[in-house]
Amino acid sequence: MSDIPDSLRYTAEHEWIRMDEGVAVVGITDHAQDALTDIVWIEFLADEGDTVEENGTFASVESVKSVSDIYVPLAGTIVALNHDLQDAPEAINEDAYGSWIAKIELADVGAVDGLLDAAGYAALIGE
Amino acid sequence: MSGGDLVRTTLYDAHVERGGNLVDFHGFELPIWYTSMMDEHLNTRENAGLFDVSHMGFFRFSGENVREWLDGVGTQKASLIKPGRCAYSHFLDDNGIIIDDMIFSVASRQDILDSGCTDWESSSEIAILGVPNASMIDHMWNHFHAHIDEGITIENLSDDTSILALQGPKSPAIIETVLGSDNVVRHFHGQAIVENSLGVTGWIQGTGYTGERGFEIFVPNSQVRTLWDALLDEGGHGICPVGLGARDTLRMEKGFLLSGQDFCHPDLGGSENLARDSAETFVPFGLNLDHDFIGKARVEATKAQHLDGGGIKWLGLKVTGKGPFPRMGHTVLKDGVQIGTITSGGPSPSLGMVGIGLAYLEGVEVGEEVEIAVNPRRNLSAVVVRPPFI
Repeated sequence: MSDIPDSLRYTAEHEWIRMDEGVAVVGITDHAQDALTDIVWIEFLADEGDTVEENGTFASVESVKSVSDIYVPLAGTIVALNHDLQDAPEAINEDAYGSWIAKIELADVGAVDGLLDAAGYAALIGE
Repeated sequence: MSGGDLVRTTLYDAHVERGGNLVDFHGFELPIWYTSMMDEHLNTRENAGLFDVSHMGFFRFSGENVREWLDGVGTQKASLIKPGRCAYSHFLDDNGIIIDDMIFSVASRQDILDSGCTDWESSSEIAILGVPNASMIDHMWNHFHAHIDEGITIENLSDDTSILALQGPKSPAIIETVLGSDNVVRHFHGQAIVENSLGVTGWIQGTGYTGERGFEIFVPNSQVRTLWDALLDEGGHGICPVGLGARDTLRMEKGFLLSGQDFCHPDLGGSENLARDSAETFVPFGLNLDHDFIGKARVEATKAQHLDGGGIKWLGLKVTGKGPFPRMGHTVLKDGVQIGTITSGGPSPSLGMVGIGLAYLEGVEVGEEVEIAVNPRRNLSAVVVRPPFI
């Protein structure tokens, strides 16, 4: 069983979202890090200040054998990227919910309600 | 395989019990990792790892002059390989394009009888035991038969045979513990498995795909669970089960070709970049030009280009900075001009996760700096090296 905190929102692409005063803090779920196993790099495909479309990609996460895109759950503007992860990508394996990847100022804060809650995500991944 | 059910090797239950993460691998349901690819990789280099490679094929070739026959179809001069020894070969089409590669061993008639095959119908004094790649079993069966000589017989033992690969510096000590010292065959030697306390019969050879000291063990399906459990539970010396993920990073660090990834025949869906001859792969073994074989003309032409300082060579790329990793399909550039495309790449666990890649390159020398276009925003700097990387 993976960890799925009730306080967060989720996407079907295995991102978690924590709302912090209109800013969506985004990372990948415990389930995702467990499936990827050894995470060896985070590559940013956008810059701070860039506007991003819903379901666009802004970063990729690399494990030993794979490269997986990370999607923007909701449209907005990237206000921060966690560059520290490039020095310690394994932090995502150690603490998926403590290792945010991007902070996105949402164009429509209300759109968060359309994302999965913990129960919905648990059902999606069969837990 | 297309759309059918996944094939499970005899060890499927054993993989599940030991926590294997099972995936579809060329139609076989096999573990990609048990605990972590990185840990399994490093443990194989430091101690030992055990791999289920039962998806690989197992052919037995026999008949008078079977080695001379194989001379004609393969790049290796099999007639030079004595009973009890192993060798590597490529098999080319008429135009010199690689169809597949294969490790084989040469066995005497007595070896075959001693390996548990007491009802062998052949009267051949020599047999060749070959290990075609999993997805290539049918293609190679057809290819060999398209070039068969009278009196040569090929038996496909793939479905009845399970294959374990024990790899790593502690492998000899583990074989000694589990199967006795008489079964510790030397590097690239092979023999019938000598009588042992487990009652396991079959063939053992000092080969593998990791570049480490190791063994590949061929046993009847009915015996493989006994051998697998005994090696892991009684072998000691830090042995662990290893999935196919680490198998790939281990072979990449040694610059070993992967069929279907680093070469692939156009008839099997391979891209132009993967339609290669043996000289282009630049692998320093398996090619003997001192005999005639199918497809030789192209190999000789490539060799001649190399002697003139030109031609294409499959070489290594070692990334010099931190960042994303070279992956299959990335473009390799020199002074902004494409000189090749990555066939295999990723982090090297044994080099502290330095990025490594392999590519067919033209117009560049070992030691030169090139760039790898990993995404629209970034080119990696890399140095051209001759594999192995470690």
